[in-house]
Amino acid sequence: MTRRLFVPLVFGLPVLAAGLMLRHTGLLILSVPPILFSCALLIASLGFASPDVQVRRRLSRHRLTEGEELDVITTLEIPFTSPYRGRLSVIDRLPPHAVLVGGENQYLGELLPGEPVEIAYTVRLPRGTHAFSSAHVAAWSAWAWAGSEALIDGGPKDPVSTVFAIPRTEPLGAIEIRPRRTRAFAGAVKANRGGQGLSYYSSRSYVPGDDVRRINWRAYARQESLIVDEFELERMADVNIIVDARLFAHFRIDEDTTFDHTLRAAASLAVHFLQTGNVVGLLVYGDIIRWVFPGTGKIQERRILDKLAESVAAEREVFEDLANIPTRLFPSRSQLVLVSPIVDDDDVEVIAQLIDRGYSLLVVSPHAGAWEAEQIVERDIAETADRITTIRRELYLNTLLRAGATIVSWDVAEPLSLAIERALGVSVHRRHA
Amino acid sequence: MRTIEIALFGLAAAILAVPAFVAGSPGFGAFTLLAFALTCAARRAVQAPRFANSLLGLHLFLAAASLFIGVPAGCAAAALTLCLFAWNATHRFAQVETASASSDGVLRLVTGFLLRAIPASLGLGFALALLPLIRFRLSFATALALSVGVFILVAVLVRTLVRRSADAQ
Repeated sequence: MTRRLFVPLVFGLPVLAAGLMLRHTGLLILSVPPILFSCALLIASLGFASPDVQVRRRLSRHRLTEGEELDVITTLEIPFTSPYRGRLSVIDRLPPHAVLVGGENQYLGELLPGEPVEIAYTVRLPRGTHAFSSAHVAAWSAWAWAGSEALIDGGPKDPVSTVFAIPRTEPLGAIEIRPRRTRAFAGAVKANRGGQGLSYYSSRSYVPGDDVRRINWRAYARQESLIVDEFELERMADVNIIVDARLFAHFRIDEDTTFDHTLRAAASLAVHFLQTGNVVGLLVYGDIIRWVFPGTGKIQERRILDKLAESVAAEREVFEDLANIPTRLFPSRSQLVLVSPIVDDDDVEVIAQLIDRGYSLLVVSPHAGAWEAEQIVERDIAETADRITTIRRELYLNTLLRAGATIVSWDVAEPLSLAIERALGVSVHRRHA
Repeated sequence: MRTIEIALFGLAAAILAVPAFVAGSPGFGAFTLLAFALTCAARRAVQAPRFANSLLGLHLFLAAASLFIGVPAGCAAAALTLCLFAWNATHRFAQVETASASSDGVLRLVTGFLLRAIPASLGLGFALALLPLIRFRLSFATALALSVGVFILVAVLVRTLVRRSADAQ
């Protein structure tokens, strides 16, 4: 800033020297404005007092779904003690990736002590944690000969100005899961054991103490011995959702990435399993280990969605393949839900190993085959590429199906519920066969 | 602030070009206007405020050259002062272009600045044009004393400014 004060002087002095050497009145006169201007800048800088602007923000809410709009009202004020008199510009800096859709996030004009000014604007936020943390203040003297610029930092951890934009969720139909072990509490997952429930499980001989209402009188008529019906016990299950956040496994689709779709699927599944009364945990695998300890209820739903909101896809050598999934975090023989575009043989092998260890696996594999093919201009190459990609995907998914996983192959162009409905029908059918 | 820059640089180019046409140098006048048009186009492509320094140098060169083809020194000085105001505005108001501000606020800023800069520049040019007409006798000792006084004053100002900058950091 100080260096800038002398720029006109640097331009003016050679003209002055030339004027003196050539004894040219015109050049001497021409040297006066730059030298005077430098002096004016210098004197104005000495007497200039920066304004002490106080910035307060009011956000319409602190949690919203990605793509929704947020209203922000920012109040600007300078205290009575401030000696500043003049014009200023305050830019309320938007979080990265936030899009201004209405109003103005800048104030330009005079700000008088004790007379606060409000600016209101609306932003659209993508998924993530967004901090409205700083404002850029530039102030000038009346002739703009002196000025100051400052960044007023509210701190990125300021909870008042932090907004969570959680992934979009969609309602899912019934998803039948069959973990090998369930919890002791009543729930909605069939436990493969006789007891109280809604679905018929088996029949056995009556023993004293059995409820007489469960006696199957038709069987008694045929066999002349008392037979009681048993129903399949329905229990609460441990469901752990694993999200594949390895950067190389995902690619961009228009404004989104397959990672965004992966997170939306994970969010929808988490909400579904929590609403059906299960104990749900979350592991985001790829950047750092982001882990939400299993739990139930609305607070757990909030924890999971917040964790998904702040998740990013990253490239880490240690998470290059799925082999380092920390299985100790998951109860043995529980239900795992892996949301991942399966990318290579190693992934298939790791998933098969998880099944061998006793976990029940539901694999939701997002892909965008049709979209990818559209991006290739040469049609014959596009068709060949599409065919190769499809064959490879089917090969991986069929291998997993044979290993015992339940597979949902999801083209992200269609709703997840549709893919689940279609795929789980096939999967259940094959298992019974 | 592109509006202020275009207005001030354009007026400066006109103040140089019109007397050049009148003085019988249409080539120089046309060149000045062409240089203005080219710098406007270049400014659109180059956003960095540092580019304003180069523009100021170019206009200083044009103003100095205009003196040798018969343009009055007052006009050259007024044009150069306008360029200095434009250069200053480029640096000071750089951030106004980067965000969304109300058009009303921008308009008030632009008009307020132009209403100060243009009369001041023209007034300075006029005053400087009159300067050669003022003649007075000055002894060597008085001139020396005045020079030393001005030198000391500038030195004190610079020292105070440097100290203030150090304190602010």
